[in-house]
Amino acid sequence: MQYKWGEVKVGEIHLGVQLQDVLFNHLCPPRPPAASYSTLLLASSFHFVSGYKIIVKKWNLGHNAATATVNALRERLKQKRRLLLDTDVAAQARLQGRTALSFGPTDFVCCRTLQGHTAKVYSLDWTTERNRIVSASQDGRLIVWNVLTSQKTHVIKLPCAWVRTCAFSPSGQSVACGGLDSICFIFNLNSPSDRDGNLPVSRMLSGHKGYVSSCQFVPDEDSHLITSSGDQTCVLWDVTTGQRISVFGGEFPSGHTADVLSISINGSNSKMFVSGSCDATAQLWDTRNASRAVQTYHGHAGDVNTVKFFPDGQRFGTGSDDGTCRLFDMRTGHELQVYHQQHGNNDIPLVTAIAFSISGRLLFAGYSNGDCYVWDTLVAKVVVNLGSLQNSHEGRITCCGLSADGTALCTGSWDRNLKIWAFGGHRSVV
Amino acid sequence: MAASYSSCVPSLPSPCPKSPPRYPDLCGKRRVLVKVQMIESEISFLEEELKSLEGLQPASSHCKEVDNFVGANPDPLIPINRKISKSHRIWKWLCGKCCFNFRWICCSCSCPLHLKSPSCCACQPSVNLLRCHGLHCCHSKRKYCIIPMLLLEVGILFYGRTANAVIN
Repeated sequence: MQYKWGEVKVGEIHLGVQLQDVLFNHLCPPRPPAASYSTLLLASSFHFVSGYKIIVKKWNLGHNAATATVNALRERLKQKRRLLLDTDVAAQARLQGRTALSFGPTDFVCCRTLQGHTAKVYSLDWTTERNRIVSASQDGRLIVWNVLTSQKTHVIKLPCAWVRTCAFSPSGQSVACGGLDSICFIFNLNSPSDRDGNLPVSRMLSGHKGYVSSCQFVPDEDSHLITSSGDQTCVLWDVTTGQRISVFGGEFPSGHTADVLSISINGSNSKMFVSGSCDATAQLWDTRNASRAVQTYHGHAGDVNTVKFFPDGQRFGTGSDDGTCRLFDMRTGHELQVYHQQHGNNDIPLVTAIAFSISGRLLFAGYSNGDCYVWDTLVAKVVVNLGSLQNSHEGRITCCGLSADGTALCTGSWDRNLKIWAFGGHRSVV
Repeated sequence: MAASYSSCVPSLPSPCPKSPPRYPDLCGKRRVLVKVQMIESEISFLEEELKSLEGLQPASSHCKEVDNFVGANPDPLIPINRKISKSHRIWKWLCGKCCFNFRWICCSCSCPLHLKSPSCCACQPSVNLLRCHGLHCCHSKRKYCIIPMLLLEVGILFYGRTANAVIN
C-alpha cells in the first residue's frame, strides 16, 4: 500500500504528520530528508505501528515519571511540614495555664430576629459603621436592615433570583451581589428607584464563566471588588468601569483546580486575600501578582466552604465539608490548630460559615445542622452552642459575621431569618 | 476452502487516511506537551516550596504569637472575672439582703460591684443593642435600684475602692 506523504492511518488513529513528527523528533532526530522519509513510510507499515506504539509508550513513560516526581515531592513536603508542627495552639495554651472560657446559659442572647425574607438566606454583610446589614436570599432580594430598629431600609429586587453572595461597600453607599448567573451586580443605595419602584443596577460585572460564590469590597476602596467563582478563579474588578483588573488562577498549577467558594481580604494588608475551594485547599494571593498563588494550604479532607482572616492579619481560619475548622499561619503555611467536635454517628455536619471575635479568642462556626458553635480558639473547646439556645435558628446556618465594633454577631439561615447575638451576661464576682 | 473463507469474511475497506486536523490540535501532541509543561512547572513550584521550608520556624513560635495577640486585646463578647476585696464583700452581702427583702427593688446589673441580678429582675434583651454586653443590660430597671445604690456609694466612700479587675 502506498500512502501520500503526511498521511498515515494506523487502525482508527489519524496520525498523519504528527506521527511522523513524533517519530523523527523522538526516535531519531534530526528529521531526514523527504525522500528517505517516504521510503520509510513505504517500507513497512507494521514498523510504523510499532514505532507509534513505542512513541506512545515513551510519552506515557515520560508523563508517568513526571507525575511520580510530583507525588514524591508532595510527600516530602508533607513530611517536612509535619516535622515543623512541634505543637498546636491548644497545647501551647495548656503550657501557659490557660483554661477554657466559661459562659452561662444567658451569656449569649438573641437580641434581634430580622424577619422579612421569604426563602433561604445565603449571605450577609455588615457595614463598617452605623449598624446596618445587607442580606441576600433565594427569594431574589437583597434587604438592607437597620439592626437597632429591625427596620428594612431597602428591599432590592434582583435580576436573577439565584443569588449566593452580597457585600457592603466600605462607604456603605453601595451593595454588591452575585450568584448562579455568573454576574456580579452593583447597586447604589442613594439612587432613585425606577418607575417600578426597584433600585436600578448601577454596574454589571460580567466575565466569570461560572457562578459567583463570594464577593468582598477591598477595604477602604469603594471602587475595587474581589469575587470568587465556580470557574475556579477569583477576579479583582474595577467597579467604576466594570472591567476585570486581574484574574487569579484558571490555569493549573497557578490556581485552584475546582470551584472557589469563599474569599477573605486581609484587613491589615488589603493587597492579600485568601480563597477556599472545592479542591480542599486554601490559597493566598497577592493582588499585585496574579500569575500564581503565594501559598497553598493543605490539610482539609473536603471542600473548603469558608475562609476568614484572623484579627491579627497573620493567620486565617477555614471551615470545611470535613466538619473541621482550621487555623493556618499565613506566612509559613503551618496548620496551627484543628477545631473538631467528635460526633457519635457518621453524619458529620459541614462547616458552612465562620467568623472571629474582635480579639480572636472566639471562633463562631455555623454548621449544616443548624448548630453554631462558639469555639475558644486558644484551648480548642466549644464553649457555647448558639444552636441550642432559646430563639436559635431552625435550619442550616449559611452565613455569619461580626459587627465592626465586635459587640454583635449576625447569623443567617435556611430558616429565612437573620439573628443578632450579643453578650447579655453578667460580670461575675469571684 | 480458501475461496469459501474469503467469501465469508468481509474484506476490509481500503484505507483512506485523512489529513491531520488543523489548529486547534485535537489529536493530542500539543495537549500532551502542555500537560508535560504544566507538570514541570508544578515540579519547580514544589521544589521552591521545599527549599523555603528550610529556614522556617516551627509552629510553636506562631502559636505563641496567637496566644499573645488574643491575650492583649479586649473583647466585648467575653465575660470578665473580677476579684474584689473583703470590704466589698460586706456590701455585696448587704446589697443582696436588700434585694432579697425588698423584692420590688431590683439590683440592676449596672451596680458598680457588678453583682448578679437576683431572679426578681431577670435580664431582658436591651433596646439599646450596642450596650447589651453585661454592664447595662438591665438599663430599664435602674430606676428601682436607688436604695442599694445609695448604700453602696456611701460604703465605697467610707472604705475606699480596692477592687482588682482580673481578666483571665
